Amino acid sequence: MKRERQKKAGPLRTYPLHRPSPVQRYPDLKLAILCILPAFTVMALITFYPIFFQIWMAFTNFELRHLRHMNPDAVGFKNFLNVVVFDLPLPNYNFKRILVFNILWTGVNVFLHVGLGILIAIALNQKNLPAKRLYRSIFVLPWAMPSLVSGMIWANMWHDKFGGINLLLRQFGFEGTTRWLLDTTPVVNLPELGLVLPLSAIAVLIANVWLGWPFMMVIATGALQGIPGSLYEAADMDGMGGWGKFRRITLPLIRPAMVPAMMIGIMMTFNQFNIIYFVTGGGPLGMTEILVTQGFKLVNPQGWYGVAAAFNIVVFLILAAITLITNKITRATEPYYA
Amino acid sequence: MNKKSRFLVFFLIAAASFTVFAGGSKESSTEGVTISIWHGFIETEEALFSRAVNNFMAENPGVTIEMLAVPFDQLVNKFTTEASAGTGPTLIVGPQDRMANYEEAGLLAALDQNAPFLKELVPAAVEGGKIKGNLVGVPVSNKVVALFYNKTMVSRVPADFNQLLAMAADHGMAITLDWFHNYMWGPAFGAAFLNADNKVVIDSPQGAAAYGFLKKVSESKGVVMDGNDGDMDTLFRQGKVAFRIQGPWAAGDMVKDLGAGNVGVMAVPAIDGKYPRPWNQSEMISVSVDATEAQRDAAMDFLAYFTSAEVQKTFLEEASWIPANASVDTSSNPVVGGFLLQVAYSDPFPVVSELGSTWEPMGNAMTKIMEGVASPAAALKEAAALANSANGK
Repeated sequence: MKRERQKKAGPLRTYPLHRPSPVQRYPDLKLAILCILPAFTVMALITFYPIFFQIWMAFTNFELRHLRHMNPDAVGFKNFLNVVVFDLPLPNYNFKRILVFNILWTGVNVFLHVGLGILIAIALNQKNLPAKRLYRSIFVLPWAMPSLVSGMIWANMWHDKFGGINLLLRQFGFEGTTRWLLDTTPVVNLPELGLVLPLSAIAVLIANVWLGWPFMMVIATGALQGIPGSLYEAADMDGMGGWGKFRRITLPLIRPAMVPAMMIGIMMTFNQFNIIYFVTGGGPLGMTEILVTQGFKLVNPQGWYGVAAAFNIVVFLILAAITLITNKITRATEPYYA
Repeated sequence: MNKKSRFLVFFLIAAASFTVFAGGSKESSTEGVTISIWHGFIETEEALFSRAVNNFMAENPGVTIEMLAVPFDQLVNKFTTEASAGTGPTLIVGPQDRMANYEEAGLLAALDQNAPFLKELVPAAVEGGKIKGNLVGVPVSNKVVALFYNKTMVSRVPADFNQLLAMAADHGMAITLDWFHNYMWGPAFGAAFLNADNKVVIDSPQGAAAYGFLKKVSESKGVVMDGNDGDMDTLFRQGKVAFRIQGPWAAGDMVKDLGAGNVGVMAVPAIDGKYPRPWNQSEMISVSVDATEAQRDAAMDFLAYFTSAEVQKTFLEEASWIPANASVDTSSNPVVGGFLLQVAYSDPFPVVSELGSTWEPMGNAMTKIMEGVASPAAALKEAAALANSANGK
């Protein structure tokens, strides 16, 4: 009986009279701490401190006047409620409308970036295509260019009076002036869904698609070059057509590279500040505002630092939720065995 | 820790301490002083300003002035953020209304109100540089928007607003779509913008009538209205429109492009006998609260130089500035003469911090009205509610 009980409980454990200190248990602990300390100090200063500072700020009425004398009053969750529920005293501010547009903006952009990127990568991967490298170099230029510069160029291109697009249209006989970035007439009018989109939404979408597809093309090209040609030869022998090869060979084999790229694309596009800010400025009448540009405007010109901190924490939570959901659906971070 | 390491740590701490405390010592004279100026001038004004600064440095070899041109619309944010962190400039140039927010944030130094050079300046303009009894800005020029006209395109000036519209139908007129340029229509219809408590009260029947009128003006033949101020200037400077409602800051560039004899300025004509009344304000230079004593002395020396009759005359002649120095004779400059006609029909600029929260709602209201998205009454009501809510009124 005693033996059975002992068997159930497992082998007898012995305890030392004096528990060894962490230094005794891990003789290299001091060295490890010393090695980590410089990096940790830098991280603490440039990452952890700003994060905690922002969280603190979000619960205060921090404004411009507090930058010099940091004595704001605590306001609890007031900033968060004002941001999400009650709306802020700003023209054209509507959190839900901005969020809906932001999600649509991200979805449409990433879809077009990935679609165009894969299509062009496949086209450039054809064996007999001449000057492939030249094409690839040219096509990658938009991605290599700072998005601020791209934004400024596109803003000038869409300019109604002096812009290249309208000048070009006039060459083709289109009379009059299209106010690409200023016209408030909706081209998509679904107010029940919170979607009222002017011409500038299309203009800024074109600008960002131009900017975004080369990244996906580069990733897709890399993945395509890793697919053994023998698979396509075998498919040819089986009589498989072009679409079949794409669906059964190309797509599954580029998936491990494309899904993480899509995840990055979602995060980058969701927070694509430069293109929105420099092409439309969120206008006209805030109709192309996304969360990150609105967050910036809460600081410049408003100077509402506490509100802006709360706003951006909410944006972070939304983006984290979107990323987790996308990750769950696409299994982007799971190991992939083809 | 061995001896070598201890010595190294001690040495680093000592070096850091010297670095920190070295910054705390104050310079006691203007010899070897460096001051910095941030401004929003462009083109003609920037070239003239640079020349004035260089001349001052040549006359005062002990003072070095570092200039930084910042886009006009970014100047407030850059200054407030950096000055709050203690990294702002010694001097900041900008329109009078911006001082209220700077002062509220505690960024401006109170200047010596008995400085001798102040006696040469227009007394009302100097008064405009005071907030809560402290002098926090020195006026360097007067600013009011008026009606520019291109003399090569029109042979006579309009007698009233109807005539102006009739002439604009043939020759064009450019108006900036923002609140600053369009405040003037309210007073012509008897509408007040702020009450005694600095609450926005433009959402009145008179306000709706004024901006309903402006909507009709914007739809009139030949009238171009756009939020891009630079584009509107370009239309006038390229001779594409004959009329432009704009301030003296653009006069130098317009004269340079069209020729001195071809640019005329007059008061915006009366609407049914009542004159539109734009805001009248000064361009100010303020001193940062972080300036050391030596820097403040050097800054005051520069302000005395910059507002001297000699320098102000140069700006009058080459940039058509309305001088802040009362002794400068403006009669030789017809462009400035035109602005002075408008000064008679202008409202003093409210230097109150509440104004900061009104620009965006009011600008938005102007766009909504002109785009036909909302009626004047509805747009003004929304703007007033937003501005008052932000100001806690």
